[in-house]
Amino acid sequence: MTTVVKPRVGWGDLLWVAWRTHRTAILAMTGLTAAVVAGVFVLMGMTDTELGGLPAIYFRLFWQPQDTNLLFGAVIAVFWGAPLVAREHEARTNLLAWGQDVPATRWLAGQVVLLGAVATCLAAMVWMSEQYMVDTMRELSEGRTFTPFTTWYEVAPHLQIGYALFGLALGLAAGVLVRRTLPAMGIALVGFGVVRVAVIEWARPYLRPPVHTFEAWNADYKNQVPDYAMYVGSGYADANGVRIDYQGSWGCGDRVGSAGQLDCLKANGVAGHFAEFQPLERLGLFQWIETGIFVVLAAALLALAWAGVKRARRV
Amino acid sequence: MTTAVVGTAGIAVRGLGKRYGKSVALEDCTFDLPEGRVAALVGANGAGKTTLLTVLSGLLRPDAGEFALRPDERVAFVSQEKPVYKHFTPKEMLRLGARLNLVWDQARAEAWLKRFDVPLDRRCGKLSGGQRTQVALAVAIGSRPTLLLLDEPLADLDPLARTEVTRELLAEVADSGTTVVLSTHIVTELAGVADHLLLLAHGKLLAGGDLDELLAAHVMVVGPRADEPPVEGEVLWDRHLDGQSLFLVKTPSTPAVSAPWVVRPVTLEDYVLAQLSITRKGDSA
Repeated sequence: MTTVVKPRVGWGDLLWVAWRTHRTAILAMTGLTAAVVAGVFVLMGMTDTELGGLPAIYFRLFWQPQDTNLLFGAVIAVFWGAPLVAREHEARTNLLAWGQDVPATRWLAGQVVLLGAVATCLAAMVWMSEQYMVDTMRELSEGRTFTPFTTWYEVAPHLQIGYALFGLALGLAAGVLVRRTLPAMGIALVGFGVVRVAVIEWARPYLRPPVHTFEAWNADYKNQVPDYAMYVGSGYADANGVRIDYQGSWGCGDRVGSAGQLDCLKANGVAGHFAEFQPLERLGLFQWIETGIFVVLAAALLALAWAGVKRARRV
Repeated sequence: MTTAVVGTAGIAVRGLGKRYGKSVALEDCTFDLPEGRVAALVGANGAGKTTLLTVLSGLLRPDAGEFALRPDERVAFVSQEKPVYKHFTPKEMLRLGARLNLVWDQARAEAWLKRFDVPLDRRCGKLSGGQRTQVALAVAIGSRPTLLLLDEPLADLDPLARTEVTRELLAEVADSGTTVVLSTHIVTELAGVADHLLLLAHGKLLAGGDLDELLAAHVMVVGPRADEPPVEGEVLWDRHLDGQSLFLVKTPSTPAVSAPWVVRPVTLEDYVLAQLSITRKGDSA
């Protein structure tokens, strides 16, 4: 009797299947990430004498840490997430993989855990290279003003991992919904870009209510936004510091630079300038809040994929 | 939708229905299949064979009705695409089967591949369609199912391999009590293989039951051209050639006829073709 009976299909089995299925993709992505990371290390070491010994990659190529980030997450979404289930449907291998003694949801759990774990490790690798880049730049360019909220905001391991997991879940959900690899890849690419940029543009400045300051009309202009803070907004305000939008009908624009312009503005209730910003102390908090946003999005997309795989009104 | 266990041994299907948008794939499909049977699932293209098998495999949720399997039934399903991972070797496909199943018989699966000369270490993508079919069958057989569902298992095989596969399949399931449902539209190959018939047309079960009983309840009456056969019983189907008429008659016993009329037993092919042509006539009417 050669029959082997086991009480349950364990994680080792599910992970072996996931590894064998995605071996090539995992090795290729790991190689690519390692090459990019090594490239950053090497290029950061290549300084530019014309720039007084500063790293050329940053100051000449304008290669920012977040560029690597955006690229990494998008590649995970497109090449790992999107084909995960879509390719099974295309090759009809879902009928094979889900027709054994393991429900489709457990099979999927094995796939997601393996790819998620590897993506987490690779994201950490990317973070290390970026951290090195930022540290080196700060060290070499003493006296230069950096804007932490743009230059190294995204250089945090948890944030990187959040982006990567979001990318994986987004691609997976797209593949579960459209069941075809190429369209799923397209949706994953566009979706990842749109969400990431939307969060940067419209969510990040308002993760906490911005600090609001007001300066009444004064002979000397005073910059209200402190160094290293994230600028959110500024403009005219009334005596209570409430924003007033300039109206063309006031006609103050005709008197640029003259004392009359000030009088014109005052006559229309403008009592001074306001400014809104996020102080540097909030950097760490913001990184964690944004991580939370992407982890919650990833969880919701995973749940969607789960339901889609389980429902099977169509195979 | 529940799959409550009912008293009947084997498969009990009650009023199964499935539609894709407006097209009906399966409608009010009801039958019992005793355990250990080898059932031929026959029907024209689009009759609902694949849908029925996929529902029974548990991979597809029906819209209506329910079905019950034996308690602890372990189902293996080989879909008509005979899917295998193209970048896996047959050996790795068997490992996948071993990993994902609670019961696995490696020797049995390997013997199947050796029996059909499938190279174990070549990627499945480089195998022929017939060899890929053998790999898919080997995985199904290795998992020692109690219910084996095969959708067009013989389609990609050459004539010699077809007879060998059916014979080997029968040998594999004969003493294990495995129930087999296999769909096909090549009826001739089922003679001597199947002992149960499930005949589908337009998503409905047209006829079903023990094959010998079904065939024994009918006769083919052949004679000179005539409008009616010279026997009692319900005429299910008739065909009139130049100088000859054929009638498929449902009758409890073999009737006596006088020359030039002859009565001959109904073959599976006669029966299936007659039943299918009835539904086709029904369409045009």
